[in-house]
Amino acid sequence: MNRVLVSTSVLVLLVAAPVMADHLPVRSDQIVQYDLRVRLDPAKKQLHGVERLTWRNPSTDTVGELRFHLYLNAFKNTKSTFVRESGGQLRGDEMASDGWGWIDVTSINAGGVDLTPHMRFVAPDDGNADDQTVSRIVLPQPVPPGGSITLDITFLAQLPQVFARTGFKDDFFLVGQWFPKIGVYEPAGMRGRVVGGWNCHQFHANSEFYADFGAYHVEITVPANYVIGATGQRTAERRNNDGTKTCTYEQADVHDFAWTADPDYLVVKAKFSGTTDVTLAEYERIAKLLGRSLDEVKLSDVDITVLLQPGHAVQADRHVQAAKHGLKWFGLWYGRYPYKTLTVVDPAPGASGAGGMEYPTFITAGSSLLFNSWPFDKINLVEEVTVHEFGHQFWYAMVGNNEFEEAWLDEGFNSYSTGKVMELAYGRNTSTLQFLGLTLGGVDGLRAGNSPAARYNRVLANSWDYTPSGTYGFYSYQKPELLLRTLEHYLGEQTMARVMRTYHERWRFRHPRSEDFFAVANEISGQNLSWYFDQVVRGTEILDYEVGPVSSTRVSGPRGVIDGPKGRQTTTNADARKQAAAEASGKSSARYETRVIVQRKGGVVFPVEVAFKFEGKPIETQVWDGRDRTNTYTFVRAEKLEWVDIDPDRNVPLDVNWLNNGKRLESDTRPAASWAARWLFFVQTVLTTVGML
Amino acid sequence: MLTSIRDGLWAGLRHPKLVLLIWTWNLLLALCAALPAFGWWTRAFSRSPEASTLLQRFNFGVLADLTKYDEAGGFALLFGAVGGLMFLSLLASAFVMGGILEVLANDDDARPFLHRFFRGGGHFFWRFVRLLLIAGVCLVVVVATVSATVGALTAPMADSEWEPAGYLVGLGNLLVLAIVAAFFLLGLDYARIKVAALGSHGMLRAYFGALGFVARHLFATYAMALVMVVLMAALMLAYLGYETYRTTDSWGAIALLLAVQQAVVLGRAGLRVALVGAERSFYARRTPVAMTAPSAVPAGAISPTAGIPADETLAFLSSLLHTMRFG
Repeated sequence: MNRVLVSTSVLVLLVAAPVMADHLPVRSDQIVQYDLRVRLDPAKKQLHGVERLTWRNPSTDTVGELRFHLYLNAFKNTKSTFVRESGGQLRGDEMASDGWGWIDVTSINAGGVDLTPHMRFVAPDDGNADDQTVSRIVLPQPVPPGGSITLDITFLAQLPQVFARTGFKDDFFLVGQWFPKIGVYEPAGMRGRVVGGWNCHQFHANSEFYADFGAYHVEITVPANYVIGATGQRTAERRNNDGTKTCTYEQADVHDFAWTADPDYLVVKAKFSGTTDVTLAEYERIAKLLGRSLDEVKLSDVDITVLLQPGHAVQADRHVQAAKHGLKWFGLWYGRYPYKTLTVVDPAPGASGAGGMEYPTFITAGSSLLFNSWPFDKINLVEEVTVHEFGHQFWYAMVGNNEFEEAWLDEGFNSYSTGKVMELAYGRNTSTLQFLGLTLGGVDGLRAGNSPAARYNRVLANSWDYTPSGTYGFYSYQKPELLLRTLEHYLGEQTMARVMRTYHERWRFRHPRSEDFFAVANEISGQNLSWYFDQVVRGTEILDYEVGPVSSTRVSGPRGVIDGPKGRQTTTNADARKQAAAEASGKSSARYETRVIVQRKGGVVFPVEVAFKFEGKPIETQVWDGRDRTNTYTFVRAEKLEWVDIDPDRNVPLDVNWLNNGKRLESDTRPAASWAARWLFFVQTVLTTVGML
Repeated sequence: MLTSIRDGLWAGLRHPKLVLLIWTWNLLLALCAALPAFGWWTRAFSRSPEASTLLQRFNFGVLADLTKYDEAGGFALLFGAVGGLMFLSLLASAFVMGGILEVLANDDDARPFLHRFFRGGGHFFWRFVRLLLIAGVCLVVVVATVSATVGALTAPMADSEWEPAGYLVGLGNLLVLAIVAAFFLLGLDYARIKVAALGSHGMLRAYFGALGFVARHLFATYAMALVMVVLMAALMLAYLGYETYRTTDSWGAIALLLAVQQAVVLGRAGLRVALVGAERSFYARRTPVAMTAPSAVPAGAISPTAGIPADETLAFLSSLLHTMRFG
């Protein structure tokens, strides 16, 4: 009873108490202020935009030029760097042959001075003179340290047919990377820079984005029958006389703005409650795990809007629940979601290229009619994409790393976090799918991509530098998830949770680089982990341990002429046979000499547990530091070895092959027989079908 | 048609030896791919503690690990072997069909079952191979043409904003292709029945004649095949249900799984015999003259309908050896 009372009181306090000061920064250092007015021409699929941008120079440098991203020009022609690199195909989506997109800056003024003639395209990454995704403007009057400049820009954008995140499909519009966006001026010292300068990369096939935090005020005008969703909160809506409507959205402390419009959207509203969607026990467990007060882990309420395709109505709850899982676990682990809204978009059929993308407070998921019903309804793609894209609110939208240069800091961190949420919410062995009796967990799929051949790139690389370019996914998503899961097991759940929490808190609304994470990890763990990060983030080697030769044989007594304390004795073969017979009959105890050789097959050195199971005895473990290529264990004891297993709890998912981690002395052919039977049946089925012809 | 289906199912039940023989042949062929797999997996799994998880569930990670250092491509070899066996099985189907038809045609034949089966297989083998080739060429050409045409016609519909359109168009295309393919496969079945009944040697004429027969009795021929396909699908679904809810973590469970699997394969073999029986019965009812017409029956042969000269088997083996020797 007392316990219930105490718990209830805590809960009441938790709900009633104002959010107390904690480690989470309240707001960003707003470098930019965007005031955008955009009108959609649904017939021409064009945007007519007016932009007022105020940029503050955050450095002690006098800045004489500005750099802008004009992302839509990536889809302008086959000469752009993006199309050259991608070949017009991205994430399984093909660019329509006549679906070009572009953006023209029709005018740009600063304080009444027309800067349009001063604008030039530049290609800082590959020197491609035909790429128009970055422009440079030399200012007649430089911006002094700490000073600001306000630019008035007009632009016309042609949206591409949906490809690579953005565009249109019939009446559906997903409008991302759509306005002239200023690059990031990095002062000396920021992200390891020696001298200040612009960081404004071209749009590459494999790269995403990087931008400064700021505030957005956006007015969107579309035909009145369209449903709109966008970054931030809708603060106004008005009907216009020309059959259009204008909706105003505002959001501070974000670094991008995207929106969508479609007359067919089914609008589903839900609310995440920090009070009812998280139990007190969960708050207590997380507070203890992180070493924080209950107040500090308390989550805020969030309005969730799901914009669904009408045919996917039955999947509404799947989207909502996935979003709630994300809000809950990411919030508990890394810090409460600071925004009031979250919009989840289900792109139109045929617009899958717009799916699976993240923007601040606005994500695109992706589904299919197939997932409405059995047997496809337990394929957790809807859930995984929703959780993953939501996770980017924490990794990239808030902790704003440079996705061009260090994609693993958001994709990898987010994959690691997504995997944990999916396992908690949908089960370890079923987090990916349950389909006709087959199950697949996230780690299974994750490990499948890791192979001995995955040793030609580093995790830490520019996103366009991976060779071949298709390996970007493995080195940005899978390998980082594997290495973070491995690190978690090495440090322990609590330490890892605190490392991640601290890193997030320190870098929320800022721009970290890899070294900043390494520093936090070293500090919180109290260890120098450079040996690990140097190998698995900066290095290329693989991690693989295996059990080599194993023997456990009965020890024979000495034979021959033995000089002992009782004088010289001679043991004949007949004596040895007697001794063996006595051991066999149990009259005399046998002893076994066990020899186990463990080997480090990969180049990565990592300490591992080696478990030994002797007959009738509990499992014994020893730690091997893995520094040498091999290590030999020798035991002489009364029990015979049953098996030996390296990393018996499978705490090192970075190990490319778990099959070679252990060895039994007695073979067990049941697994082989069981799957050979299935294989036999499969072959019989195929042959019966062919044999029917 | 219903009578023919009943006749067919009855034929399947009345010829357990025939069904067993087909099942045995299938099993022997499949073992050629299964035993190497068993050997490979025994070497890989039997001493690995990690592989024990395979007793509880399908562990994708373990199967993926199996290929990590597998430069030879074990799975590629296995699937390659299956490809080879498929070709062999296809070729053998010409022999098996001859055997089935001979056995079904001579129910009251006093000769031993195996004798009849192999004589039938040998007697009709080359003719049925020629039929297979003709049907194969027709099938590939027509299905490719229809596929391209239907694909081009339905492409705009598949691109519709209405999401089900894409799936419906895809399913519709598959259905059209299945119907077209079934026409040529049914033609093959009836051509073999006709050849076995009449002892004809003009395979082109026999095949196109059979296509005409199928065209004239479209509903009945398709319906009979559909009934058997539905029964086969029901068998497979029952097996999938069993497989989904049973683990195979003990030798007993593995043995039971094998038994269930073989029962399913046996059932499928029985249904194959039943389909041929039904088609044969249907053909006999529609063309009674053809089915009772004298074939290559030697004087003194036991069967009045489709007996085969005793030396045909030797002739077949001789021609086979000749072919093997001279390529």
